[in-house]
Amino acid sequence: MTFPTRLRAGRAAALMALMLLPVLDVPLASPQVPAQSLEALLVQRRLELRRAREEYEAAVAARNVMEGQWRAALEQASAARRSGDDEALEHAWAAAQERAGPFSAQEQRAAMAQDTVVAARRALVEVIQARLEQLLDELDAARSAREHAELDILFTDLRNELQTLDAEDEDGLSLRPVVLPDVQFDPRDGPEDYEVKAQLLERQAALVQSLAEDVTDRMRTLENRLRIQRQSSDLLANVDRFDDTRVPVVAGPPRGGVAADSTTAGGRPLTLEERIQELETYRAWLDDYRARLLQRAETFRRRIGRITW
Amino acid sequence: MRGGLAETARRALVLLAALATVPAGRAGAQVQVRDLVFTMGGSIETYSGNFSAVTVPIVDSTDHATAAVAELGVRGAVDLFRSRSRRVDLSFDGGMRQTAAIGFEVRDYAPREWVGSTSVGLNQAVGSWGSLFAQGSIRGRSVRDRPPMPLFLQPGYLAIRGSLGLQIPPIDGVSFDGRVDVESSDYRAFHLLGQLDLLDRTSTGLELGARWGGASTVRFYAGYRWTEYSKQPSFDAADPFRRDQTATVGVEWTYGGGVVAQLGLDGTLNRSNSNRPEYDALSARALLTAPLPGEFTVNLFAVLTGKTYVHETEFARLVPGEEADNASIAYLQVVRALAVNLDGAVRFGWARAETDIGSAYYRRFGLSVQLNYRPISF
Repeated sequence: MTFPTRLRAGRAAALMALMLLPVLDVPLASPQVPAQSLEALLVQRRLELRRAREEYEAAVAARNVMEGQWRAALEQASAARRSGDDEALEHAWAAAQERAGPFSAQEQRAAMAQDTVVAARRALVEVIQARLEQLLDELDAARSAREHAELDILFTDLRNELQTLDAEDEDGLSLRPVVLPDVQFDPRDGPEDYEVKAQLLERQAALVQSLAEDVTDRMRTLENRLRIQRQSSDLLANVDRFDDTRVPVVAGPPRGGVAADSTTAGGRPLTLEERIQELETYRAWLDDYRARLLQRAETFRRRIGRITW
Repeated sequence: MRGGLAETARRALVLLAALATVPAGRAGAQVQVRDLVFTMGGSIETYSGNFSAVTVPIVDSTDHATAAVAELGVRGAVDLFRSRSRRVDLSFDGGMRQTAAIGFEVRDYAPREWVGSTSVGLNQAVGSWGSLFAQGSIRGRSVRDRPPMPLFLQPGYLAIRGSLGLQIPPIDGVSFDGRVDVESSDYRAFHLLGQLDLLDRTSTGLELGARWGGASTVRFYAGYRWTEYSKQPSFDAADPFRRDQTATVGVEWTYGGGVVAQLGLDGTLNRSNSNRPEYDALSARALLTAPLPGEFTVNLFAVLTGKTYVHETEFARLVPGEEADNASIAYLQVVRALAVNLDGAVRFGWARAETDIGSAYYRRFGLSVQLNYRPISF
């Protein structure tokens, strides 16, 4: 029995990750999905993520080229202004204007490629989580120490992969109050750059909003269950209080009553109240993160206004 | 004993006052109030059945009695410590019920019941072994001006109980649980009613269960209980005091989700060194809580029990107040939220239970209106 602590920690990690990434459309977690299907899906999703990353890297490289050309035109314009060469300045502004369009388009392409990477990463995480859950069941059902050890290694590797992906995700669609690293103020940015960055932040805020709404829906479901459970408990407690259900006197605990609705997440069973509180904390964090994103986007837009003036 | 109850009530009030200063359940705090409910209600109840009862020193020849009842209650649960692997919680429940009973031949009665219980529980994750749970509890009640039959009220008692259990994680989709418990009950025998001492007992029980399913679960269980009545004769000189052994098997189906539903079936075999209380019983149980249109919720709780005695005896089979395991109970309640944190309920209750005389029953009907107020919201 060398696995328990690690297993339970893994289960907790998997479930926490599942909680942090709730927008799942594919019902992978169904126990009916065979292990072979999930393994095949894992391979497919890894390939998709690899392709998405390659496309993103290509898009970023192309964007960097376009950015270099655009910045070169701006520098020429700056040099022409300093030298008082109006004709050269006119040519430089025209070149900068001409190169701004492709640069903006390439910027958008890079942003879209980044979204694709994020989506592919999420899709892979989803399958890994489902497979981890499946492995937990298989570990519980392992019939020999050898089979158990093999499954344990598989579980550990997969969990490490999940943690790596989560860490990568922190630089992209992190669910931490950190602004995207590439969305920073740059004194060389023009209005279009600010517009692109503001839109990027707003898109992320919209995604966070959808996550928050999903969490809210799940909280409502649990709160309804809690209300029903409490009303049931109220009836039993009120009739049991004065021993009306203990007619006649009996030895031992009275029967009847519904066991607390709880779930096990890497430890003791959690009560409905605890699950609701966890979601509540998570939603508050999402709201705060979204507010920060929008605030950041608004700052970019204000800068556009200053440049326009 | 009464002084003890007063002290208990005083401590309960102090506890409630302390709870009022504890912040409502929010993550981060160690001590959190998980639930707190104040209940007040009133009801009209009728009782029928013309029996004498050795448990009540007063005899009245009426067949029917009617009572107006008012009650106050409070119950709650506090998490004293909470982490991913461990929870320690405290539960408490207390109340007062005042009855004004009319319809008796001799005089009217105004029984007043005080009840209180509290328990401390531990739930500890123990690695791959699952969850360990332990609980210690104390429960007591006292009754003044206890009326004659057919208005049956439980006599006063003090019961102390401890239990220890383990819930094992699923193996091939089946989770197992086991529990042992020890209970000691001391009935309040006044000098005019020494017979209540006969009910004093200690019992030890063991129960094992297997459960499977998700939102809908089925649990099979089997239990065995040893009970000793140290003040009750067995009419056997070689083994003078009564000792019972009770075997129980049962199945329980539970559904938890938007609707709470539970069906259970118990079979009981009670055997004793005294052949008088030996019996077999079968009990069916149902619990349903379901939302209705208009924000109403319906609650149903019913237990139907049938019993046969192993031996025929010419005198009363049952020890005063014991009444063995033969009660049928049904409660139907409709609830609606009247305001934030305030539920209003109308409840209909019915009970049919065996009296001191074996195979003789009394019945109770009741219609109640209750308010449940939760000052803390989550």
